[in-house]
Amino acid sequence: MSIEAQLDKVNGFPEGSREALQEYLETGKREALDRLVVHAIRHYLPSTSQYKTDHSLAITPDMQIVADVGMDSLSMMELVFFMEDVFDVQIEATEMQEIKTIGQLMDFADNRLGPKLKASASGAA
Amino acid sequence: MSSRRRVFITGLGFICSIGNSSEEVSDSLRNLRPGLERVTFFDNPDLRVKVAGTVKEFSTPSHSVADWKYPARYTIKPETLRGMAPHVMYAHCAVQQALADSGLSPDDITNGDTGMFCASAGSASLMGHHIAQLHAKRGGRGDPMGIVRSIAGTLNFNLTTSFRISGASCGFVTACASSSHAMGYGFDEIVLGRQKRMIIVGAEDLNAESVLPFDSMRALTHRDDPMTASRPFDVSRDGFVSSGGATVLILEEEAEATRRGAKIYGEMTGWGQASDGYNVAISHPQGEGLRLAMEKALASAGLKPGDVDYVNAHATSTPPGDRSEAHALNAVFTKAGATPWVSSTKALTGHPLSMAGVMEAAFCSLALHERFIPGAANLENPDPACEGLRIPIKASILDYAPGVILSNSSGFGGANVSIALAALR
Repeated sequence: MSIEAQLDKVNGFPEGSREALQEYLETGKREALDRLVVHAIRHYLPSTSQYKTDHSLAITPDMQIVADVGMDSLSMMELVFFMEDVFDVQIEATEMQEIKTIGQLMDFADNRLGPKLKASASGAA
Repeated sequence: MSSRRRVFITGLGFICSIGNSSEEVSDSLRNLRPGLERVTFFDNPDLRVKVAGTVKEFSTPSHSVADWKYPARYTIKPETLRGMAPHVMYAHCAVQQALADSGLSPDDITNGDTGMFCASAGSASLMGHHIAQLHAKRGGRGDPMGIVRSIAGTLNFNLTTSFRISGASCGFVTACASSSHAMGYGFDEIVLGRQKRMIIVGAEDLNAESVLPFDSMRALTHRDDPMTASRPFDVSRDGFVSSGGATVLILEEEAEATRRGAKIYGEMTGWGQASDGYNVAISHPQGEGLRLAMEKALASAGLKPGDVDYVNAHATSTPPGDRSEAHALNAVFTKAGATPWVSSTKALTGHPLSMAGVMEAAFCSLALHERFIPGAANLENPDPACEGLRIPIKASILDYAPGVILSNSSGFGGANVSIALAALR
């Protein structure tokens, strides 16, 4: 998949998503990935969550994904599919069940996507 | 006749080829203005299908809802839109339009007294897309929303949840008779006292995947002039023009409609259905199933053939289908010495498949309320089978108030439905 095709996967996501994804793909910086995770959470959140519409409300690593931020099980599945699709990895439902906080999700993404990113970067070199 | 509950039509919503509001649709019907346009599917100018009944003001250029557009006067939550097919987006907007038309707030329809019956063929386009994804990953991964976005039923899954319907909900799949079945069984829900109000929804995608399979059946015209391509009952007709969009019609029990002082377009007084039992795709040559459906509709509404002022025909502009319907109409009416006006509005709209029945019943509701009869556009030389039928050729009748109307639909497998409507007098 070309970089351009990967970036197109965040069309319609909150402003800054494309830049965060591009920066992560180019630099592998954890901070860019964390930003992307927050943007993706806001994109898939149901409208019943104030965090979806009010971007001035910070989504922080200590927050519970369901209880604090307001994700539901279907929006979590969509988020997982997004990560699988954009980074071409396979994520098991059992892996996701362990993840309760935003910080755990960011760590999980870094652990799963980081090596993949390095592999494709070295493959390209 | 026993005191059966009466069922009124109290709201309409249109996103169809000839207009995105009652006003636009009425104007198109009165002036016989078609909603068809030149189209090129798959960027392939060599395709023989040149014309379609397009959906205006909306855009769905890719499978991703991020690329979709709908008019700013409607609202759809982003996470709701993600579960939708194109026709569901059209229908969501048409429901909002119909609720506003009916003077209902979104909270008025959530208490269990309101049900919703829907009809669409699902989204072949999205189904193909999601299955292709699955193939590409050799079964390893698929979009979690793939099923609810695409299968037949996506219309009722989405709309009953986004409008928080807690009354009856169901989807109907009898192809081009589907939304007439939805309307018929919706009528029954109210007559049986199960629901006070039923929201009837018909909708279809309009894209390469929804249109071109019908060309594989040799059912579509290859004419390239949008003004004259669809020619129901004309000897020169050579296939139908595909169409899409959404239509919503609100049925309401008399007491409820009266209680809230609702605008009343007319009354649904009965319906009938019957099957050809003949061929999976072609209607019975003599229109036997449709004849029986019309007779049952008349009996259901307590009518004689001579009571009917206008029949909105199903006639789609295919050679065999229109001929069958002409025979059925002659058998029911001409044989009884009755001569209602007959026309097919598909000359203007094209054929929107599952949505046709409720769309045309909604046209008839406008005709009852605004006192006119839609004419037969593009009809120059009627098929000999139409001998005996009274057809308003190439002009609508604007100075005549129909009292009783039948609206016909026929679908694959020889499913036939006829809906009886009456002006409120």
